[in-house]
Amino acid sequence: MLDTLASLSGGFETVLTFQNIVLIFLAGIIGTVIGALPGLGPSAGIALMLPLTFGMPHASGLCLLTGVYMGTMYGGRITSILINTPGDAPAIITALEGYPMMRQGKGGLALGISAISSFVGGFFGLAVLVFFAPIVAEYAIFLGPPEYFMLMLVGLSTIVLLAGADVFKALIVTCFGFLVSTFGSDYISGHIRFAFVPELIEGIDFVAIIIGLYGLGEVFYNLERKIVLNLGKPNFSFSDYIPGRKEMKEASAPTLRGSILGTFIGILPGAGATIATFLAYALERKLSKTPENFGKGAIAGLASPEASNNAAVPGSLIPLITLGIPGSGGTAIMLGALIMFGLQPGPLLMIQSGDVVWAMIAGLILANFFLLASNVLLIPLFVNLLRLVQKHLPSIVVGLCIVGAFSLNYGTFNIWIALIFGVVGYLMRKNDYPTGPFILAVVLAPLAENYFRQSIMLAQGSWSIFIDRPVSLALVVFMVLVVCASIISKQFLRRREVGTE
Amino acid sequence: MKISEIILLGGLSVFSGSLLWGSLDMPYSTDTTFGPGFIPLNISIALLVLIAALVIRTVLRSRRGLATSEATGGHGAHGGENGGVETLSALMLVGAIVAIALCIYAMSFVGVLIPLGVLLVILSWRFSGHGLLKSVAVSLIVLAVIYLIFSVWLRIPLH
Repeated sequence: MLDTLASLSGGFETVLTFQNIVLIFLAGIIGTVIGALPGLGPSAGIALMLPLTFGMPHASGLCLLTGVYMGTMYGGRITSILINTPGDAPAIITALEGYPMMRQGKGGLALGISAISSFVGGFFGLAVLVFFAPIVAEYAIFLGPPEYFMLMLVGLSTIVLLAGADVFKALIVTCFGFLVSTFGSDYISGHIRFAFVPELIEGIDFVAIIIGLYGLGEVFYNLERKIVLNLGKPNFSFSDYIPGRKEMKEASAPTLRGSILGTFIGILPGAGATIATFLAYALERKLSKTPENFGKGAIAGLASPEASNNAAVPGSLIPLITLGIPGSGGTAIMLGALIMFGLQPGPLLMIQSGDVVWAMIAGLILANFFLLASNVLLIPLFVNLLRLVQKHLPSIVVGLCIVGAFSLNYGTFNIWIALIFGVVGYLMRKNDYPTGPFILAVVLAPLAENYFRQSIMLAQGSWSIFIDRPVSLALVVFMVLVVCASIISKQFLRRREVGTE
Repeated sequence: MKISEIILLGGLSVFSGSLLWGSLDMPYSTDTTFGPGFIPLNISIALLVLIAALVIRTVLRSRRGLATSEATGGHGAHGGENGGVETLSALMLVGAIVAIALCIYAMSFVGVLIPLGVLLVILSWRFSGHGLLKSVAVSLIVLAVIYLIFSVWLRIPLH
């Protein structure tokens, strides 16, 4: 413990120079702006900043990149809350609760709660990264395809909670999501599925889908219904943006639970942050005394996923730093940066280049504080900017969605995809088909399919592999218990209702 | 069932039907595991079954509702005026979607910025109900901001 603190203070000594402090501050702001733009997420942000680090000392370069990474996670929530256009998968839940709050005139409050929850989540994740990284990574390495498949199933089981009133409709959109995810190369067999045009060989870009489904879908719905937002006049009173004691009390426990979930599930490669946010949301809805408020702007439903989203950033850095395994697009580019700086990612990184890694961690801690301050200060600017342009919002959102989809691969194909899913999103919204299960299936189905087939391959055709391994068996038992508990609690509630009638 | 729901379910049926057809050409299983056709085949069948079940449920419910309405002497849907307004709104929406589609098509030939500028003016003028001058001015400002962020700062080739 004392060794860790000594190493961390060494990292702070490296980072606390005027040049590095300014660099980390700017990296956070740049990350926030990039994260707020539809179509651009952590991967794009880090890739765009990579050339700037060429002439920098290693520690400064890594601070810049991790600052941008953290900033994009903060920025992703801005467009989710203000214009219902999430930039990446974890931000979808933010839109689910944040956008209804914005429509009730509480956009500033939603941004304030999400900024504070993001800070707490990021800080918790960093604490785990500092003190427990090697231990956690040691256990994470023992998870194989059967365990990952089971974890994906746990993630997919939250569909039940996102289903809304009609489970039938939720099942239809879930199957639709599964089918959308099957386009492109099959990584197990090398077979290319449904590539009607060459662009589909790599599959349908998930970001183009969410840009269409939420951004364009919302515009189409508002155009048809002639809905004009009424957010009031610009107002710079800080009390409208800083959550009060009541709101903070309501958000505190969910934020803590989201932080814990985000840190530990964020470590999982692939979709750690996404699963963490969906599970955090599902957990809060399950624990809530007023689950009917979820989807209408519930503070707990906003705070917990936001905390888990940001806690997943340090979480995803744990396997990168300790094992050299990147868990997401963003960390894969970070891995490239580490190699570019002449460092050797893997178990020896902390031993051979500990000073640089500790400086990077110290930079992340500093970035988290800067981001809280800058994001809270920027809330009035964002909200009032939206109030100023609210009458022209449809054309602005369409413009941002089109350019965002274009920037995914500098071609018109993804704009067509966004338009198609814009129409699908409009039709789904108009007919009360839930979008959450669809998105969850699009994100998790390809991973679940791959892990499932890998597991069966490992077991040479036998299904017993899912119960032969202790962690996998524990996850199966956990899922069975959750299903049984929810059935029993529903029966109990029904009987009690009948009894009172 | 609303027309929009029929369009959605019809589209999903055609989509899953075509994937079902395509997945028949893929191996369902290999010697050691399931093949690439396993998920698309099973899920597309499941989707078609679910859509059929939903349609049957809706038809049965509407018949039951009709019978109840006749028994209580209720009237059917009223409000022809509302129907007219809804048709007009739907036509406006189709117009907006067609305008966006034409804009994307034009982008393949002349780059992103010019068609996007024209689209923003049309959306603001014809669909959001602003004056032409105001629409042009606002669209120019939006276009300039997009150009500065995406093209100048982020170096994304928009033209």
